[in-house]
Amino acid sequence: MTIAFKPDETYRDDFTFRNSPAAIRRFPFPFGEDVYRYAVNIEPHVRGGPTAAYDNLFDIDEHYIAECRERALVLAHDPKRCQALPHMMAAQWDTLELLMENLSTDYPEHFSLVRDGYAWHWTNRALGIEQHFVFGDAGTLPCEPLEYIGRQMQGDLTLQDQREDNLFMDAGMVTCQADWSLEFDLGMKFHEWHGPVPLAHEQGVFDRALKFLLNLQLGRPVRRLNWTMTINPRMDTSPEQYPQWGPDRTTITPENVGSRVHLRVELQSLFRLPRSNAILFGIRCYLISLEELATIPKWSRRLHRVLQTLPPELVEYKGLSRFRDTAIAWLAQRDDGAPTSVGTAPD
Amino acid sequence: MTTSAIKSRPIYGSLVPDPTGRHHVVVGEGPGTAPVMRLLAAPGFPEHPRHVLVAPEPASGPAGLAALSACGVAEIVPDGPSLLRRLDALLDGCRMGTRLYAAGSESFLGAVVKIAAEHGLLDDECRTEHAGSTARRVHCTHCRQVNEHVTTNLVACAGCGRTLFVRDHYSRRLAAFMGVQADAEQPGATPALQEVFP
Repeated sequence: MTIAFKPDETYRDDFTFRNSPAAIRRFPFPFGEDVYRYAVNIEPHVRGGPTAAYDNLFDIDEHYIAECRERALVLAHDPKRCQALPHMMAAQWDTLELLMENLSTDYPEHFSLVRDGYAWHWTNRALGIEQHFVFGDAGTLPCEPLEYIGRQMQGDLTLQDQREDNLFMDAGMVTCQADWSLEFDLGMKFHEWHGPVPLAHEQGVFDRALKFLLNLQLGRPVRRLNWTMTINPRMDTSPEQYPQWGPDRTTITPENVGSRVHLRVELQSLFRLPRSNAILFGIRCYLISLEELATIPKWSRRLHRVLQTLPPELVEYKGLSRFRDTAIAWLAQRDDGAPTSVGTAPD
Repeated sequence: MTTSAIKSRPIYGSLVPDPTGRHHVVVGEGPGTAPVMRLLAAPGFPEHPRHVLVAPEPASGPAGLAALSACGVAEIVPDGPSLLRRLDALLDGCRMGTRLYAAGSESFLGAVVKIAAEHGLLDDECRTEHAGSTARRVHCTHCRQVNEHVTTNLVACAGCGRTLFVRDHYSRRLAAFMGVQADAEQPGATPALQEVFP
């Protein structure tokens, strides 16, 4: 099926990004019940789930072309959003292979990969890219493999080296993150890069998650959802750019909250890589305005109830303090108190 | 000793001899001189092969320097930065079984561990002991300037001039804490200035 891309959307300045009704229905809504509860919530990353966003291991949607352009703008301004330590080259090639195989298999109208031994021919019709290269020879690509394929993906990618019974974030392409910095976190161990997260350390969440991930098996990827809220459909909410997006948080009024406050969901996936034994972490970001969300009454009812029960530490950590009450008041007008159905799928 | 709830910050210990080492490199800066002298006198710490580098406090005087020589300090350098350059050169020739011991301010320890990692030493081949000031090195996330010797919760960045809030998040690779603009959301609305890392 050919995806109808919306190539002219923007994630900055005039913010013309919008979700079509079909994109709304496929949104990976994160809340399975009416109260907030912290959980590791890792499940097998198998094809198929509550919405079409789960149909493929790497999801491409109507925003693909616009999001790749946004990524290029971020990289042009700050090349350090893509970095890899020297020992990560094998993991970079593993990543390129995994992504090209999946995209060409799942979206043959838009991508194709032809292999003759190490001589590979990649075509990305959506972005108008055609590349002959030698797999394993970085000199035959215009840039290193992670950057090459990362520029053609929606969502951020990080590569974790596994050694000393730990995971080290030793490479990444990170341009649409929720307030964390690759430049700062590069080279860190698992508990170090999760250092700023409140509450979860004390609950043993990261001890259990690390133990689980060290045993991640090839061909058996896993996923989880994470979320926060962002003002305007802005992809780049990095600490580096905080002076640009921080002021947005003070601009929310009862009149504009529905169109400007967005639920930001990350569909996070983890893959063991075959040659390097590293782990690929995909962070696929989805944005939806409260107005768009409210076209699915179950979701606006539930978001209202979740926001009311969010612990204060998380309100602060997620940066919601300045506009949470305004958002709750707007959502309250759309919550008739009716029960919601089980699970995250739209009614 | 500095301990804290900051998950990304190293945990510093107390310098004791590592009997599994085959070559010992010892470095101390300022108040770190005392832990170095204690280590050198510890039972079981081999006289050889070892290399000891110290940048003592400027006020040490001739008697202090004589005491350092008497307990086996091979090299005395004028300050931390020259010590780090010397250490970098020294570790160029380091072999399997090298153990590194460092004592001093947190900024100094961070820089030493960073150099050690660049020379391939593993975490458990380095021993660190914190001594003296808890002042932080602060990396500006906006312009990447490193601000040395920050003792307050806020610092005016020497690179971009923004008022940075010092986050409790530490990078070993950069040997620095994270600094992020304090008043980005509301210009001028910064928390009260406090001396928190004396």
